[in-house]
Amino acid sequence: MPQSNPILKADDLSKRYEDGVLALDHLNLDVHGGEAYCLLGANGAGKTTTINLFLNFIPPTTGTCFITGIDVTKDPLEAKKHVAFVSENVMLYGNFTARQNLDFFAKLGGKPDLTKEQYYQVMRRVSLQEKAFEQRVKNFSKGMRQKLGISIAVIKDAPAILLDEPTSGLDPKAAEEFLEILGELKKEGKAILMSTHDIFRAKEIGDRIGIMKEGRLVMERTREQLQYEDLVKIYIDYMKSEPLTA
Amino acid sequence: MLKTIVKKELLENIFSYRFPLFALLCVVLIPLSMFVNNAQYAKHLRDYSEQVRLADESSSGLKIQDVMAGRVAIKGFRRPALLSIFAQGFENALPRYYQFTQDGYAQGESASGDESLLSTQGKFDFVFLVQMVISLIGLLFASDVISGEKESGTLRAMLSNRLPRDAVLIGKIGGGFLALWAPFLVAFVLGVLLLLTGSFPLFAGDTAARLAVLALAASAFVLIYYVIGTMVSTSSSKTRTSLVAILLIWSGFQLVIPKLSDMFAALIYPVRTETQVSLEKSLVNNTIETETAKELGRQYDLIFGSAKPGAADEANSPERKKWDPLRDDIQLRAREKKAQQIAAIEETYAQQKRRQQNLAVNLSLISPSAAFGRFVADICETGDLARTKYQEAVRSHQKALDNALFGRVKRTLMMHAGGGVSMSFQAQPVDPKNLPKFTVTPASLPDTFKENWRSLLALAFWLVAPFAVAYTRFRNYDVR
Amino acid sequence: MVGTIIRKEISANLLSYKFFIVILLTTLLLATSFFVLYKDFKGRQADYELVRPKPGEAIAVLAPNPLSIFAKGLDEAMTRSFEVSPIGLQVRAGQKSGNAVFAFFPAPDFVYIVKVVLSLVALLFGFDQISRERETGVLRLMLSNSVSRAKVLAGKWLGNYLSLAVPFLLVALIGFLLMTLDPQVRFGAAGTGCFLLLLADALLYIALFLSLGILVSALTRRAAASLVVLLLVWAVAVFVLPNLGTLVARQLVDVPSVKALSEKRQQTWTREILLAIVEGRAQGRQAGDVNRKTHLEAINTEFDKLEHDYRLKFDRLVRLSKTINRLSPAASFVYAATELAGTGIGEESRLKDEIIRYKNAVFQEFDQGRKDHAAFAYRYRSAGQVLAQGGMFDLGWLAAFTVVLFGLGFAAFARYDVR
Repeated sequence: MPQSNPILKADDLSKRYEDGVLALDHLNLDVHGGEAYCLLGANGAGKTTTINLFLNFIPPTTGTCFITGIDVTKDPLEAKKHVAFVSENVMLYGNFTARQNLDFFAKLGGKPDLTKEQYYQVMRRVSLQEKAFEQRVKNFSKGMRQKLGISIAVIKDAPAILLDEPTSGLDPKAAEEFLEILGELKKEGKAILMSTHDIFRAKEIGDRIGIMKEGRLVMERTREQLQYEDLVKIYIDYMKSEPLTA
Repeated sequence: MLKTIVKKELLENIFSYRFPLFALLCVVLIPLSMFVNNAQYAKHLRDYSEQVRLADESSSGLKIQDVMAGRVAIKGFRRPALLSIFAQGFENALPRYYQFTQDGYAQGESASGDESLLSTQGKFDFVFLVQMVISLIGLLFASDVISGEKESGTLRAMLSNRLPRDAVLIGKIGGGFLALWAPFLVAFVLGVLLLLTGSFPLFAGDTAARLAVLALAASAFVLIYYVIGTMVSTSSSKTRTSLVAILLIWSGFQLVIPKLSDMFAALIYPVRTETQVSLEKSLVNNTIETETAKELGRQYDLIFGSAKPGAADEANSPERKKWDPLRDDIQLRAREKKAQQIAAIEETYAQQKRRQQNLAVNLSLISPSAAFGRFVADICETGDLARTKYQEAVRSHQKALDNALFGRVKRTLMMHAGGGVSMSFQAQPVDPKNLPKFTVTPASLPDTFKENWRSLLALAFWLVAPFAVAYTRFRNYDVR
Repeated sequence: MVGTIIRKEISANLLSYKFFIVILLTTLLLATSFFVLYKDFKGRQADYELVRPKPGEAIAVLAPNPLSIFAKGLDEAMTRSFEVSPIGLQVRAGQKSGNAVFAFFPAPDFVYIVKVVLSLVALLFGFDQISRERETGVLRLMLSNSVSRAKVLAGKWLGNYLSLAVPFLLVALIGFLLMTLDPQVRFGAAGTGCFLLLLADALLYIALFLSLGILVSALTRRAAASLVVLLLVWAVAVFVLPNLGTLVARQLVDVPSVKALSEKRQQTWTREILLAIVEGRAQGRQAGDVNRKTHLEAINTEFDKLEHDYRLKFDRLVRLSKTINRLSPAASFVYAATELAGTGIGEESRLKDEIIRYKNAVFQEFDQGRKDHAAFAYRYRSAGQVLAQGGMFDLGWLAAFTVVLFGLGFAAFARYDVR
């Protein structure tokens, strides 16, 4: 159920790179607690740029990002206390075990006093096999690494979660398990912003879906609206249509 | 197909950022090192000529009285090696001269002795550059020759064509090495041209041949390291791992093994210092001299003790007829005994040094860098062979001087029973202007090759073995 | 937060087999160096016992310096024996190691190993700190948390520095302690102090190269690219630059060779003696004795002048070469280390001055007809004196270099694109 103040808010956000490419063109979006917003689009559409702007990895050309009302550019360190991040291809520290990786990132995320059992609980929650808890991550499959990645986000217990193509390269079963966890986190009141290529998963998890093309949010639909529309057709039509810039 | 791959490798290297960096490094450093070492050589040569002139001047003014007084010390100077411009080797560690006296020879100061201040930081000659810098660069360039293409996926793309793997490997090595070798050779030639402008005697004696051998050996050395780098690259799937392995190999070959082998040889076969050996020889000298003097004194007293006064000065007196041959005989035997004992000391010392040297050389051949260094030092006449030839020349010059000068004065020292000491001389004429000149005969080029067969074998091994390993590994390399 | 990152870096290093291989290699090299140079030192000590002057002899010779085990420097030149005779100073070849093979490859002392190997190792630790973590995506993950880039860099720097410095210190200190077990190797309190400062110099040098590695890592996107550049820079800084200065300086300052000088001395001597003899004959024997004294004084003055001129030119050469060489931190490191060990250029120069003073004193004794001469005594400079007379400059230069490199690395990382 949407609440009054969005946890994630992009206000007229634009980004033009040094080589002149306009990666993001006046983006306006907000994500409330308990809501999952999926950004769909082709490569280079601006999805990852959006996520990078929220995380202050690059400065915006114009506009502002807010996380729980905090301006990300003005007070990045404070803003980052309230957001967790899961990236596409998480390599983590290969020589560390799953628990050791979790321990390190938990401390960075402001949770220094957790016990081993608490780590195990979180890893169980994301359906990581018990025997993997004390195994070195360099021997993990991609699915296992993504689970560990989401467990890092879970343990931070931040109100917002940003995910950059988290199911890319995962087999259907692993992707399904991943989305189940996201669903639970959504129910706990987290605001989820996820960029993805995967139309089917987007439809499954997304309360709202935005289609991006050439840096612009060209279409937005709610879950209810999509019950009566074919998202696949809409998406492909947009992709096939003329470029937005002449 | 091979040509295509070689060409691709060559161009890929030339268009990368590495090539201009490397070319710049070569073209600046190699001629610079030659120029600077040439200036140093020229200075040493001037000093040498001046010292020889001064020494000749002072020895041409020698008088027989000086020899009798035992004050004569003739210096024999070693001419600086021309090709030390390229390889310093032992040039600065060998004594600049030896001092020859009645009692034998002693080594003088080395170049590094007086101006060692400036050598605290180390050497900077062509061979050093090749051994330390260019070898590293060769290893680096080769480090991602296979693993890099695997990481970027182009290896798979290449091998999805009808292309035998050995052609790929040989082509890669060929092309990559050519990209290294061209600037290196250009820099070398530039350096030599620079030297020629300073009247470098390129065509004197076998200098040109030696330089050609040096260039060839250096090129082979760079190829060896390129092949070793390729071998490492075929043994790992990640460039980063190759790089770490290469660094370990490089420091092992350049730093650890040459030093460890010398250290090890010194530990197993320790050798006494020159000081100790000279002291031992002096001791033998003094002992035999004292014994001889006592014996002569005793005999003299026996013969002349009861003779009429003046009999010793009368050449035809019966006592003299008895004394002269006896004295000569005693002195001859003493000389022989001394020569024998000194020779034994020297031989033992030489043997010890040889044993240590052999062990050090054999152990160091594990490193291609040490094998290369030793071989080219000998080519440039600043290596072990030069040291040996120097020693030989010193020994033979001492003999020549003994014949022409020191031996002309027979000093008879006698210690009499009552404690008195007397000395008499028999002197033959000495021609101080025609004393034998000190020269060192350098080893010929064929002899140098013969003496260095082990180094050459080691280098050949290091060329063939890594290639064989790379070849075998690459045939089974996982290109996915 | 910084503590967390430091702990992570140290753990990651300890779990990496490459770390162990590298530490093992360094330990092996250092241990071997200590052992061999210790043996070499004992050999030179034995030699010293042979050439030691008897009481009354006018010979100036130093015993080998125990700190030369760590920094050979000019110890062999400094421990030559100088005999004072009426002709002047005669230099005799001193206690050379029986192992002349050291001439082929430079003495593998502690200073050399730090200069060459530890700088390489530090570079190896630093070169992929940033670029590798970017490639694996971990950097982004780290920075998505509330931790500033400054803290991340500081944590990485400290974690890696400790991973290097602690094993290095352990090996060095253990080596030093083992040597003190030999009663003939006497460092004394002053020597120990100098050794600790030498260690500090080495630690500073390692910090410099770690900073350089991290700087280049923060400037490049691919780890492999940064290593190639770094290694070229390293080869030039460690091998080429320290020698280049000397060789270039030699071209700019012309110094007569010592051998030519000694021949000039011989000529002067011969000339003056002949003059004395001629004058003596003309004036009768007694006047000849007085004349002899005058001529000897003339010889001494002329020799001193020759020596002084030479020393002036030589000092200029040394100063110029030092200045150019200092472009490379490796040169600064070696200068500071050898001075602290008492085997450096400054100490050697001071020794020469003392020997000349001794020679003049002995000459006065010759004049007085004394045959029994005072022994030569020399005290090495204290650590404080070394620092005051230039050691501080080299150490400060290294520190400045390090701070600048770290600052640049920090600036580069602040702007680093982590995507």
